[in-house]
Amino acid sequence: MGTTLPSGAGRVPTADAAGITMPLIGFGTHPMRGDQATEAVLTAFSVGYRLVDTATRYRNEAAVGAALAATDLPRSDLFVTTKMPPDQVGRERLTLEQSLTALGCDHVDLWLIHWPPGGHPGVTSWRAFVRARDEGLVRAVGVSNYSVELIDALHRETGVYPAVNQVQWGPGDHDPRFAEAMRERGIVLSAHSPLRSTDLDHPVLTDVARRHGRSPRDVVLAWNLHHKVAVTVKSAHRDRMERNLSAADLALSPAEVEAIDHLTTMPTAR
Amino acid sequence: MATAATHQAPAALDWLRGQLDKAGFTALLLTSPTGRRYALPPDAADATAVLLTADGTVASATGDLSAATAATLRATGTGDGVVGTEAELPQYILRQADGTGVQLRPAADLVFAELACCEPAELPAFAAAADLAAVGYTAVMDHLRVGQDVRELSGNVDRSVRRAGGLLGWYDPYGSGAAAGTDLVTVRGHDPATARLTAATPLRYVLHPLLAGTAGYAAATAVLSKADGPLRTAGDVGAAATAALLAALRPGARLTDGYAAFDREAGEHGATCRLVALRGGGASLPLGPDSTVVAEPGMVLGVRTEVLAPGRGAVELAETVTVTAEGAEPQAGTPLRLVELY
Repeated sequence: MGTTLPSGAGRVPTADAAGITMPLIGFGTHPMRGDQATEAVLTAFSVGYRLVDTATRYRNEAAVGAALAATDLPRSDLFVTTKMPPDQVGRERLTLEQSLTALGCDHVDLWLIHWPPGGHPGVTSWRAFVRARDEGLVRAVGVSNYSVELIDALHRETGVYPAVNQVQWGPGDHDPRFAEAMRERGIVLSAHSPLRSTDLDHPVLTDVARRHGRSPRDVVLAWNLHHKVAVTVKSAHRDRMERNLSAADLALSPAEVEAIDHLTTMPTAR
Repeated sequence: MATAATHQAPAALDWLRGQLDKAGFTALLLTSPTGRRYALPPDAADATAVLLTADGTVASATGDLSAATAATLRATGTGDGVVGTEAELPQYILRQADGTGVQLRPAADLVFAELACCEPAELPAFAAAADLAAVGYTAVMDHLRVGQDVRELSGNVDRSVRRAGGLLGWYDPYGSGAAAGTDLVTVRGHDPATARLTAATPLRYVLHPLLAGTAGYAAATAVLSKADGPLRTAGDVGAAATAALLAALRPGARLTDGYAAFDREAGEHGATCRLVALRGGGASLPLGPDSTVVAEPGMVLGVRTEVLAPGRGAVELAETVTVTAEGAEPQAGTPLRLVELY
């Protein structure tokens, strides 16, 4: 069954990320660089993506910035996420300024600590992140690849929870206790690499996919959206971009969602 | 008596032959692993000595260095004349040459310049190899944590580099002739009793990925806490001295000006630096302190610096740099400073 809705941003569900509206399907840019990244982002915008996900580590912020400069879409319609690598502890403001310069923006919508620095919570960085948010350089601040314990440590020291925690998340990573812990704290769970830990040939996925006339990949994306988990997907090909976006149109039944939940390989909560 | 195989020098060695001729050398004796490998096809690279003559013959021989050297000289008819030596030779080889009519003269600069100067078409390969080094750096630095088993780091690097389309290859450390495969991913700073990382000792990480025979070059040092005392000092000195070295690598300047700039900035701190050429697998001899090689656009160099932190190990940094009209341009983009993770 193909999508019956026209291409466009309007059909992408959104989440409230600490008071700002965040599209639940985003366009990931890693590992694209240069012109390829610029063209892919522009194509993604034309298909209907409004969230573009980059990072200092990806070394493609300038290419993403070129797309932001070239698109006719107003900046206010777009959602730009970037991330600070952990080796920039103590240089947070410099890193953000470099990101803003490369992106050609006066603010980003979401700024994440890409990894816990040295496995620590990164309280020093988090304080700088909150300051940047308060100064309007970023609209929301969050983290990536953080455990519940590390997030609680940030909150304990600063009183501020991240708006988003981006982690590797797919059926194979499904951990209801972790997801619930994020919900309880008002944190949007965001999935990177949603397909990495998942066996796309698993009969549960192929059966659901067959019933809906879709691919297992589409089903995994729809499963994330059902759980209100943001997904970042990447492709340099227009047709695949469209297919990924069309996951927003795929409604899974509760029984199907439950069956996919059970594909988890996570023995315990994170 | 050893015998040598001979063949016509490939066109890739034309520039080097021209430089030999210009410098008044009859031939060039290559005895370091990189030098031998550079002049020979891969299937003949087990030779002990290789002789490249200015008029275009390559002779190679295996076995004892003394006998192999003599065999290459015989095979090429180099009975007299000035023969350049790319690597430092044992005294007995030099004595053996006495009275034969052959004069052995140092020619390391010729080889270093040959290995460092790249055609524009070669630069993407170096950039790709440096990129792989950056991928490896990320695979280490983003995942560090106190108590981590360092063996996990090698696995992370291997997976990430493979995912990026690369492959870790074997590496001969600076043409020492030692067994290969010792320095592709090197981690220092863990507790040797447990192989685990601590918050106090800086972790030094060096990666030399090989991509189609081209070496990437990067090293970094991180401490899993806020640096203090001698470590902070070593970090600051290392960053400043490395920056000074890079700033000195401007077209027209001698590469050794970089060494001098580094030494000036490092002052009395225990610090060392070296420049290596990356073509040929990154195992070339470091640029000698008396070298007269001049920086020129298109050179690709590995830059490696180290500052001792008394009682705390050392801060070690490395980068792949390309010399452009504007100066040295880092390729891997790894931080040339002590990384503090806290």
